[in-house]
Amino acid sequence: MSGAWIHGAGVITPAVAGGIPDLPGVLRETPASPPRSVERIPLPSGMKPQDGRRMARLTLLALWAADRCWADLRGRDAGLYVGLTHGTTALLKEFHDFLYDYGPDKASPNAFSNGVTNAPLGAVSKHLTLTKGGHTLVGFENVGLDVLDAACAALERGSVDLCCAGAAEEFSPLAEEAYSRCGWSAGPLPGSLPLPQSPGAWIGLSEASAFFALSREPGGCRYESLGSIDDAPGDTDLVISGASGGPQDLHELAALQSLSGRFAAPPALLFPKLWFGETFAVSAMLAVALACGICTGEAPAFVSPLDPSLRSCFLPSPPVDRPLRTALIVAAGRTGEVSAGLVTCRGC
Amino acid sequence: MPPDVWVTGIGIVSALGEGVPVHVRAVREGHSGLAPREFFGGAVPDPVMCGMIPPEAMRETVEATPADRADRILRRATAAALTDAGITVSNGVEAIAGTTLGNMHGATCYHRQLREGRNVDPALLGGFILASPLRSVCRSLGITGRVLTISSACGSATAALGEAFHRIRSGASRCVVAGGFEAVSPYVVAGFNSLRLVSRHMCRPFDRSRSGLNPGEGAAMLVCEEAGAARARGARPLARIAGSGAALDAYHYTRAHPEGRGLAQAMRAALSSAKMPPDAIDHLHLHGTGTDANDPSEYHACRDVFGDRLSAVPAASTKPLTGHTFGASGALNAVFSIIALREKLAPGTISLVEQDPLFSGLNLARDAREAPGLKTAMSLSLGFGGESSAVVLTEAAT
Repeated sequence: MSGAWIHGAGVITPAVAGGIPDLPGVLRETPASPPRSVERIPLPSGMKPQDGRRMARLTLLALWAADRCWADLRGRDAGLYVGLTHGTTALLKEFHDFLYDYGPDKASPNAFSNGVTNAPLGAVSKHLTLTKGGHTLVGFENVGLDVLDAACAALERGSVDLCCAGAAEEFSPLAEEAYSRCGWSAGPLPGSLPLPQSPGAWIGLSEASAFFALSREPGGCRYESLGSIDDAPGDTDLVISGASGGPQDLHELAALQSLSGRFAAPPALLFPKLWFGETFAVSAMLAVALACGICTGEAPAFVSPLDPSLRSCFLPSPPVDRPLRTALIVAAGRTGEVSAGLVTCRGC
Repeated sequence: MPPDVWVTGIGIVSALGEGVPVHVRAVREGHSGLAPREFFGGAVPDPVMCGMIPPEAMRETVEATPADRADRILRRATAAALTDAGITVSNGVEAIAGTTLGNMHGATCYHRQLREGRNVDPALLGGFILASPLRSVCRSLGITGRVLTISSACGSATAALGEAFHRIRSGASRCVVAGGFEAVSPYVVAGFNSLRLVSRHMCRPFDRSRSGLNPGEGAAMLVCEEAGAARARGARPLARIAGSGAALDAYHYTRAHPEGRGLAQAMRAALSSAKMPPDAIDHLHLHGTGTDANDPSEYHACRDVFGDRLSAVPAASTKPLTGHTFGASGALNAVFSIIALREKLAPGTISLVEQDPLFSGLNLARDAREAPGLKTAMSLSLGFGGESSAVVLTEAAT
């Protein structure tokens, strides 16, 4: 298990652009079908509009969130880890369109070079002048926690004193269409999670980016990477699940069911994708940021549509008799791997 | 005291063929796996010198499709590495692999079907997610531990080896099969050609007449084990990973720093983690792509770290043997470095005709050189966007 203190966060989704305190308020709204894309991606500080003109949407989202999380750390050098799932399918499509419309000798160098998977990391590294190493991890719905684990491990072994870690996902009509061909189409919000009973009740794709500034120095909230979901502590108040009605739900359900009887008192169970949509690599990071916001403030009154098998071991809403201070993040990938992390807040 | 990290198994497949012996032979004899090949009916450029894995090394089957080529390349190398290490039960083994473009052939097929209005095969969606091949391979080989895919351009595989090294040293893992893979597809060729980086001839790293890179495909996977655990099960070490380092240029989001600032930092970090001075390095395995921008960056970084001693360290680029395998290149480099350590043979840079005077401090040779004192090698990777990494390998003391 490795861990680190969170000293800053930047989050951008269609619903909110800001830091940790801005997230819990999103839960006060009744979930409706989450918007797919951010209306206007603001430029990060110091960046001219022409600098971002050729960049992928994905990269712009990452830049904004990373810049926001580093607001109090300008000038500090650090390591950098970034998580992605699909990368930029928009530039991938543009490249192929040029290839087939104009011929291979006129293929778009911009679409190719700005479309490679490590372009967001390169852009963030340059914008914040981060040189202390790192890399891009690509994975499924749980890769956000793998990114945090890699960053925490780098801090613990002393490779770096400070680390910037985040993820980004852009909304992709191409991916949405491909998923629908695989049988996953966005429909009405699920009546229960995980594994909604009604077919077609998948939350659907959205876009987002979330970045954290991590350090060994104590701060407000601490993130710890758990070796396994079995390491969840008995005094967990809140469990945040990555269920969305999507291909990972079978594994999310199994993971949540395995927690039955583990806790001193039933924790509240929250499905944030009802509000934020399926953002793949970003989703677990959004969950961490949301946990920090809830554990340092007052939990908004959400009601989670629990699968019947979970109703005896979890609460659908925050308990009234105690504050939420320890949150377990559960993120299952569609191929069966389950990652877990713990958020605790000091002095709360 | 952190444990030693041994390499106990190697699986490798490239344009030279499959297995370590064929790569040893290629180093000794100086023969290349590059050959001209047409893509797009000869339009880009005509033809492309590239390193395609020979069909006999892939043992193509009726079920094979271009769309899953990367999966098959990776599966061959991973299975071979586990067999070489004598690991028959993969339960608890972790896997970390690097790739730049993964299985882009699948994505290209998807786009073509979409444009042609055909019934698109949703399975090709896997081409969009670079993590798919390693997941699929681990499932088929029974690897049940943590699985990570790193995509940091040409530094991906060295980063994967570095991550394996650190996980074992920290006690987070005891056995990780790590490396990289890449498949050449029309997308890869057209992409690098659009950047005017592809050479019509065999690449000539650090040569006066260098004119770009040759796309290559391949995979190399190395079983990295905690020495005590390996010793306990009777495994024999092929080499030791002594140190690993990484850095970012923060210069440009695609180009490397012209003076190799990030690579120099990565090299120093690797030496520091190995607790070795630059003087300890007996062989430098260069990234050596043969492009106008990368070769000077790499040279400046080496000069910065080694100073005047650079001219005494036999150095080599093996890209003329296999082509540039992008996300796999760091792992292939590591295997060639281990070959150098075990055979006491510094590889040649076989396409060298006239070393560019700009790089006069580099100790390059066209032919392989006997090096009886070769005990420690450093392998370098310099990636798109300035992600650099380095790994230090030594003989393994049992």
